[in-house]
Amino acid sequence: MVIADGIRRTFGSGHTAVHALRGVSFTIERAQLVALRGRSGSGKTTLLNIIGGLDDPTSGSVWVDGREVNRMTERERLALRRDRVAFIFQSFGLVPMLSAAENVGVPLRIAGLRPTERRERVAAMLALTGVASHAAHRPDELSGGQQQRVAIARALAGRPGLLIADEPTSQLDLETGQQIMELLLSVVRSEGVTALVATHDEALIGVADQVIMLEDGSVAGIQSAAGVESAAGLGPVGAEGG
Amino acid sequence: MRSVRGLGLTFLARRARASSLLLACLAATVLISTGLAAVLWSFAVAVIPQGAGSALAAPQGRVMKLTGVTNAGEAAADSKLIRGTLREAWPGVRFQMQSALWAEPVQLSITSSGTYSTQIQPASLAGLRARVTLTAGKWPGAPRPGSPVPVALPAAAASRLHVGLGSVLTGSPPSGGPKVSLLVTGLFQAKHPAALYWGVDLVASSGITVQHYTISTAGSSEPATTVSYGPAVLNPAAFSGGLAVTQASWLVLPQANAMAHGNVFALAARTTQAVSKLSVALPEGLQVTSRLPQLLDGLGSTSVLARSLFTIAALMLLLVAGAGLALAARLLASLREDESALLRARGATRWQLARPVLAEAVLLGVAAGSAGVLIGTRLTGVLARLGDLRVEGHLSGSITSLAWLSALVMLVLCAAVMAWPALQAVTPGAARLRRARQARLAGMAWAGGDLAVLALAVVAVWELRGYSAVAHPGPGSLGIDPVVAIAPALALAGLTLIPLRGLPLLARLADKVTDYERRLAAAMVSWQIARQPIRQAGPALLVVIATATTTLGLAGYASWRQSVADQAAFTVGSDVRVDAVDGVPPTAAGRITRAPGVTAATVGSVAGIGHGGELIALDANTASKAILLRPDLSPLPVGALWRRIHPHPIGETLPGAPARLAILAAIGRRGSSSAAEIRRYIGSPTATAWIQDATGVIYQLPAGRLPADGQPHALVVTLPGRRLASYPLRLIGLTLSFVVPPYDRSYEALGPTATLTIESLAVSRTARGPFAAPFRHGDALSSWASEAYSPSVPTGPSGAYGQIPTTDGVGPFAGLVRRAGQAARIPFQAGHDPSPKIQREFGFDAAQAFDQLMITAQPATASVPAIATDGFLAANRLHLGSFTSVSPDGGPGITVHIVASVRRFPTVFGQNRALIVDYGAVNGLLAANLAQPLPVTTWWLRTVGGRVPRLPAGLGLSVVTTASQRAALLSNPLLTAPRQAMLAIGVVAVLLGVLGFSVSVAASLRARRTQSAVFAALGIGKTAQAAQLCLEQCVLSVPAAAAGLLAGIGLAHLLVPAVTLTTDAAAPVPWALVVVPLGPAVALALVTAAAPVAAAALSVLRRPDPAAQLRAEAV
Repeated sequence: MVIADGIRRTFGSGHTAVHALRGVSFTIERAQLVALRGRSGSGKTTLLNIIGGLDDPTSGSVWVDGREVNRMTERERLALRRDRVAFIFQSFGLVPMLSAAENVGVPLRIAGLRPTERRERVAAMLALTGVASHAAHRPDELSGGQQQRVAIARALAGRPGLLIADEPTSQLDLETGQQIMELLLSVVRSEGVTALVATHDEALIGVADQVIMLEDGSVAGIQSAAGVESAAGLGPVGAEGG
Repeated sequence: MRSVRGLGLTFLARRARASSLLLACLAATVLISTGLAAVLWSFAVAVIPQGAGSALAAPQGRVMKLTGVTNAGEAAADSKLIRGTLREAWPGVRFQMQSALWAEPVQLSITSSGTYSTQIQPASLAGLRARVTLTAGKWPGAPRPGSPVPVALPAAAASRLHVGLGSVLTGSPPSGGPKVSLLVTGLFQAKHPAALYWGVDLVASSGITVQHYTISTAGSSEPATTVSYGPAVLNPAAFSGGLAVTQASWLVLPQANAMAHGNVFALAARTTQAVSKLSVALPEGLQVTSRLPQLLDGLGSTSVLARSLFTIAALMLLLVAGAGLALAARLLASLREDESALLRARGATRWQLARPVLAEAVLLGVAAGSAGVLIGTRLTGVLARLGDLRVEGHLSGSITSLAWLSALVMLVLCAAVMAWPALQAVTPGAARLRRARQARLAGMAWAGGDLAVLALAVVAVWELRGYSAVAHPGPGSLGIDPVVAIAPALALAGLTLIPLRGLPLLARLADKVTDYERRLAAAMVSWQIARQPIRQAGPALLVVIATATTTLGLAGYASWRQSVADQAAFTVGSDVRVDAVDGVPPTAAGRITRAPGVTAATVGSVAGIGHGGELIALDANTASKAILLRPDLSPLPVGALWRRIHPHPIGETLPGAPARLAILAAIGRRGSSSAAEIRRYIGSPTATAWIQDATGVIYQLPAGRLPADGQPHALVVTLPGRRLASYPLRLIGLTLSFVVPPYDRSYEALGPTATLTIESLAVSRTARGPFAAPFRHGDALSSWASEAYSPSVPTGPSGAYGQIPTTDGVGPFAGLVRRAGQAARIPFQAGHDPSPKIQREFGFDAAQAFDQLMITAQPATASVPAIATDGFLAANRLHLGSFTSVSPDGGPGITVHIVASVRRFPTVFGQNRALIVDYGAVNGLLAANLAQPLPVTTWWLRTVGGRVPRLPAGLGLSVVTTASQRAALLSNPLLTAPRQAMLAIGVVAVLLGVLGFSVSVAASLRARRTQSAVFAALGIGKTAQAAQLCLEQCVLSVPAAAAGLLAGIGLAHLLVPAVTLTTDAAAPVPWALVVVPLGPAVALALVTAAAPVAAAALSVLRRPDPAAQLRAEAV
């Protein structure tokens, strides 16, 4: 589903250059929940943005569904994000003046679905994420967990192949965060989507099919459910970096 | 509490940095508004005295004419009384005074019924000789006892009286008394007939005055006419002889400057009192004629109106600035809502929250306001030197108190709109809820405040409908007209608040619509309206107010300039109007119409027809090109109007462009008269041909002599030529003049009889040489009429100044014109002198007596088609299709048939009573009735660039141009400056509207930065987002601009007719039309509505990639 090959990303130049990613490579299969783990500043968000086509690598390539994203035109990337890739944000990213249902319907309006179909899909996604009873509520009238569920519903509404979630539980309490993670897992299993989640959350890391550890812009290790695969020269997976 | 105590300058500075854009917008709004207010009030204070001076500049408006019955002994005392009374009424105002002494008129003739009389007015006018040219003879000296009193006459009067140097005019005063004889020693002509000096003359400056009145006798009344000639200027010493002073006239002219700086209303009142006092001062009363009281009153009213218009401008500025301030303050409050809510939650009181806001507002308001006042005052000096805005010498450069007052008002407004939200600060939870569900109805609407303003607006509109500042001249205690000053702003405020009540409905509709919308862009637009109605209302209201103000300013200014152009065109009638008070020779008429630079011309004659009416005879063929008649003044299209009075040419058209005409004619014997008799007594009459050109001017051209020998002779007429006359020419009459045959007892009663035979007409294109074959045989004239008369012998219709009782003299007589083969024959009897005894009795000079035989072409109808003004129809209770008879300048009557009407006709003021006829038609009718044609007195000329063409000198012409009239009106700052102020406010309204709306759009963009990044992540590109932004903003701003445009147009239609006045506070003639320059208005509306949106859309396109925003959100 996703192949990253030697991705580098440098911001700025000269002595003030920041090397956010230093040759990241990995492969993610379909219908997997992959956790991207690392401290703040390790390059998680940058990597996710590159995979989602929101940013360009300085060097290296990334393929999503067999298509090289970094060589796509802006128009192709927009189409990628409309049809194949969906984002879930740390701060939920909901439109404040729209209700939960209306927020979920946004990608469906972008796709130009007929109103009837849109309403059905919205209802289904809200039900899937367990917030159907809050369909008419505005984001400020919802708890953090509810908002994130709505955000997940919105992300799934367009039937994406890849879900990219950037620390979806960082603003939630432990219990709620766990619920969100379980939701993501169930979505991966039931909808067959691939989810790439940047997180510190141990609960998710525990259930992820694959854990990619980033440290200072490099892959420190990749752990799969079958066992640990250590990157050369790095310590065992499981230790928190720095 | 400690944490909130430290809200000091450091806190203010930091907070200001975070919201610098909005604070800059507030500051800019205050600066621009106070700056413009400073300019406005500086001009207002300066232009009113300057305008007053301008209005009083024309001496015709200031002059006062007085006439009174007096005698030689009392005349000096009367002059002293007048001087003293006026000095008292006009303290500090100098004035000039001219005087004239008049003797009783000398009646020269009167009909037995007393309905028609002629008289001459002897007078002594101080300062006359400096103002006239002596054209013949000498000034009269002191009279000798027993001899006629020497006088000098106006040349025109002498011409009409058929007298010259050495003529003696004898008559008696109308009141009875011994006969008076006046000896004409000199003839004079006014150097400037239109000069103010001639106001002291009781006779018109033409030397002839016609008065129409009614005589009531034995229970019935009859119309009567008196024709007065004069003044017959005599030496003052004549008053100590046979002539007594019976009347005096005075002309007073006060200085304009001193009056302009006075209190005009008080001056008007004192002038009226002085006039009343003088009216009863003399035993027989003084007749005082002056427009000065009305002019001063009107000036006072116009000043009130000017102040009112400046006030309108100021209030509209306040409205726009207020809307802009309110919008920016609301956005600022919205930006700081969470902060304020947090401070409230931490225990800050409302006053503690409002204090830093007030401090901000005061600092901002004082700085921006002071800067605005200073910059505005400096700018005033620059603007005052520019073109139309030039203000002479009155701008002191100091800051007016009104400018500081405006700055204070803006400061208070700024503080109020900024502090109000701070006083409404809520807890974080409530703020969150407010963000989630914005109020559907604005606070003002909840309180019903909008309904109150709306009610006032309805009242304001109702008052403005049909309002006229003419009918409300008083200044009131405020010095302004409150209705005019306040109503427009109230009306606009009410109109713009209507949407507040409509918002909930619109919001509900929008909500329902979104569910059915497929695409995101349309849905977002609907959501914006549905979910944030108050947020959207602010910019929409600002756009409405700004656009309405701009449209009103543009329309007010354009309408004023159009009214000025219309008034100027109406006053003149064309680009240039040339008037000759005394008329000019026909050959001179053509030189004027053919002057270089003239592109179209109409000649004509203007004559009085009694009761304040006038007859305007002009060439209808060219009038449509030359006369500037505004289309709405005529119910018919202008071309169709003139066609109604197109003449049917009379007479025989001379083919081509001939230089000469030959009339082959003969005079032979008839009846019992022998050839020798007619040769002896008729001799060789002098022939005169009456030639009419295409414009209607009639030329009486010598045609040689026709010996009465029975043989055909060619009467050769040298024609005027193309340089002087408009071709084609037509022969419309022929006159033969010969000395009246002497008295002979052996005559039959009627004198010698003869026959005039007209055989043919031929033309030649050259000045010499043979003529072409005749183009017409004489029988073509068989439809003509013939008439014979003698001005000297008892019968005869006109020209006689004395009626000789029936004598044994016999006037000539002419028979009908008959066809005789290919010729026309006119039998006539020559008449004869009275017997020598009668001649001696009446001082009859046989050598001067002559007969005239005339044959004239006849018009198809005995009436002339005419266009009548509505005022004429109403005054005479006539209608279309009516026939009526009028006597131009007291001359022979003509019948007119009213075939069309106009509401107003250029150059006709006062009671709007005029008839407009074709000059050629009326002259043809006069000629057919053997009357003298109307002289050419007026030319209406269209010229290149509206400039005055080079005109022939020495004709006593006066010229007036539309351009000069327009310039005079535009140069009056009292009328122009307030409209310029409205225009300036309109332009600034665009600026304030764009500023406020831009800030609103920028705030909206800032608020949706994160949303924009999320949308990018969802697959919406920058272009689509920019388009979405444009759609969202324009869907409110464009209809708001349209609403503003309509509101502005509506207000203009209410306001412009109410406030468009002349300098004497009268309604302009013609009335003002409302002109809305749609192009600029729509363009400026679009600029206000769309420019900020376009700029914002561009900024969206240039925004950094969403990844950066998402990274920032992730931190």
